[in-house]
Amino acid sequence: MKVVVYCDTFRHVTRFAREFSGEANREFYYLVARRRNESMLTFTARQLVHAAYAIIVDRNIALCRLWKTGRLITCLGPLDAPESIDTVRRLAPDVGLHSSGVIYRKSLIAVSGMGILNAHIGLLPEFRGRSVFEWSYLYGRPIGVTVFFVDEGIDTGRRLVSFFPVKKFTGRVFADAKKQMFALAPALYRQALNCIQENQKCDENDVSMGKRYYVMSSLFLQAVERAFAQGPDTAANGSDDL
Amino acid sequence: VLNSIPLVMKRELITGLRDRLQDVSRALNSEAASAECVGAGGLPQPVTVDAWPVDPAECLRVLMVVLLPPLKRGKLDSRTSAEALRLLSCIVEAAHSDDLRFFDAFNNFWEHWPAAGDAGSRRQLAVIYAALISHHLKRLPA
Repeated sequence: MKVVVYCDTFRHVTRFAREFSGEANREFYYLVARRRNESMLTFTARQLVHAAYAIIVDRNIALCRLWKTGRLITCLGPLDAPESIDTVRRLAPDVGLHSSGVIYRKSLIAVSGMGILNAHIGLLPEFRGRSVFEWSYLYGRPIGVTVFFVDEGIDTGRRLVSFFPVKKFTGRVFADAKKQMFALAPALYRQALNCIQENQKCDENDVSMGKRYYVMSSLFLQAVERAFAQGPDTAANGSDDL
Repeated sequence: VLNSIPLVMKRELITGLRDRLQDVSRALNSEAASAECVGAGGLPQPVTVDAWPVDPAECLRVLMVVLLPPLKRGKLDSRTSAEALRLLSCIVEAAHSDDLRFFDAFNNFWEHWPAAGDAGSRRQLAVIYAALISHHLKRLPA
């Protein structure tokens, strides 16, 4: 299975490369593209900083290895630019993984094999959009990550691969718990790829069964943070998984 | 939906809402006092929603995706702030419901509405918002 990971920075590349090292039956390619409206100078500076951070702080030299083996690809245009699309088309991946912070255009999804997987830190179809971890916690609903195939909308892709409940967090700071959720993405993508390779049937993301959420106010967020500080499990009583 | 909110969360929400209601009441009182000084007391006319027969979910989307970001950056001009008030008026009914996304739009707009801007529009928002907070404070403990 050939997998292309769409990354925002070289540091994302190293995070994923660490998780996927030693995978014998999958080939991983990492594509880093310039953001829309980002100058070449900013793009270059940003990537150099992230590369330095990955090598010096994370002590991860995967970038060099990937570069040498042609697995690390840099696109000087945005992901949806024709030259980036051509690059992906030539790679002919079986599936793409999202780690780039953009909303994908149809043209890129079309050349990404089965599609592009996204790790969404909320239960779909119930919680779409922004601050879904916060809203899930506020409502006492199951906490976890849904891996699904994206479309051009906001969390409206029809095929859900799996929901991975998250049972434990380190510490009692809500912002840290959110970081821990995001950090799970590479490992959960790996599990989702296993599900796909085992031909597990996708559930349908019926958007009529959920709502689109928006950025949470400070008032609600502070209430969530205070409740979480009293013990992560005290508020999340809406699921047997927790 | 409110029934699914855990008790500890309800307690924290109530604490936050009580504090917020005090802030809004203080703002209303100080603005009323300053309005009396210049002889322009009394509540502003409520915005009529009859001319806006639009889907509340779409109003919410426009408020949160289109209007909130410039408001946060302090770049909401008077015409757009009037538009925001109109859209907020369209979701008042929904903001009384269990769907807290609508109420939270008011929380967000209050938090970022410029205190030094058009006093009339801030007062108008404060009147509606205070009533909404009181409504939710009554419902949450249930």
